[in-house]
Amino acid sequence: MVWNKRIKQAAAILFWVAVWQFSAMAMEQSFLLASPLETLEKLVGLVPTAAFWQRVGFSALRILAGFFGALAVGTLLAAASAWLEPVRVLIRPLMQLIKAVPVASFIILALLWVRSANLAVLISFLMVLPVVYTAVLEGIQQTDRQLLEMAKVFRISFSRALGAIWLPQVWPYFVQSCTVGMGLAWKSGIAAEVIGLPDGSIGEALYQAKLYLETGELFAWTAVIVLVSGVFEAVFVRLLAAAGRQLEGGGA
Amino acid sequence: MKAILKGVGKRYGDQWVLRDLDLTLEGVNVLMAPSGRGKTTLARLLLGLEQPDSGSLVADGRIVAQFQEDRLCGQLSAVGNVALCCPQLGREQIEAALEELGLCEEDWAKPARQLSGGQARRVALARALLAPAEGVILDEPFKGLDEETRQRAMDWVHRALNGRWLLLITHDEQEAGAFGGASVVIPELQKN
Repeated sequence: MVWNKRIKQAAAILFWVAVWQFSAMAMEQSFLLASPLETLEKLVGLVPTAAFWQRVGFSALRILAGFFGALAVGTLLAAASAWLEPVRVLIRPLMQLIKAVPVASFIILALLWVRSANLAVLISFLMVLPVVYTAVLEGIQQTDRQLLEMAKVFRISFSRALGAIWLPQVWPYFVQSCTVGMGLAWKSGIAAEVIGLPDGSIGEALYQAKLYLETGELFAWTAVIVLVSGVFEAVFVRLLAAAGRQLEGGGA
Repeated sequence: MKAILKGVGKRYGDQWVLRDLDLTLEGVNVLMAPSGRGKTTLARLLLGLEQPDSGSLVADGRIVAQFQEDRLCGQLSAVGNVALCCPQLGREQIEAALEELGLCEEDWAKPARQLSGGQARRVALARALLAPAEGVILDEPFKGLDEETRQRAMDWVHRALNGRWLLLITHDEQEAGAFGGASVVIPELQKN
């Protein structure tokens, strides 16, 4: 059953790669649309170089810093908002504003405040923050009231209630926001780099490829972003799943 | 060890659920009343989950409850659920109580969400009776138990009560008879 599904998925991917290949062949101008083979060739040329890994490291470090910063701040703000109504009232318009303002506006504004090298940190942080905040707040608000009453009646300490009631119930919301947030962090972080052009970043490489009409390289870097983002998301989701299992069996 | 209610009233909006209730809870007390008479509200007032709108309520020490719903943490085992509320007890004491209530060793470590209704009911019962408290409220504690298990659980409750006051809320006359004690009456209110 699982294999059947995987074969179908692989066939769908192959279909679209074939469409891509035929479209590139039909255009006959690789600067307009690089073929899958050309993209692969560029990718194979890029991967063994030190510069490639330096760029990946540069961008990943900053995007992940923004992502983890947003996880920490978003969770803390959500917890504060759940317990203190004035905080919730104060934070709500800020989160709505962050959600509504286009990422490009943020990037251009942020360029006035931070060095371009750190732009991706701020932009990833800003894009992920409302996602985490909203999800964790929702999780806290949806926590089983009957269990919370039980904890009050039996005078369960806050730390024990946190481990036995709050965390297991908020966890799925947090995990969901992490999954969405990781992809968002990479997309917005790379967009920030393409506009800010920090030296040695993936965004800069993308921009240069576009500037010199190196469409094959542009596609190759795009594939790198998708792959690296996917790998980080998969690793992080596995770590979260392991932590979730710990929570499930945590209290004996 | 007792709880004293004097002229206690509780309303939700304009609707009074309890009014001018005088009650002293000590020893065993049995509350049998039709639905909507305010049984759950009375329990919530005693537990401090609601505040009376009139009158006074004074209780010696802590009051715990087996709620109408089991209210167990689904991911925790039977032992884990009891230990969460009874940190003063060792694992062996909790296991011994669960065994007396007819839960076998295999069930002690099962996550509560995998327990049957009757098993979960008995875990909630053990939690209420083992928790350090001066008063215990049991809200339909034997609901869903077969006759033999129910008798076993009732015997265990008598032993575990250990001189504390009990408010047993039930619809079952047989259960009420088995516990004896004082009958608690909630007067019917005129609907306004």
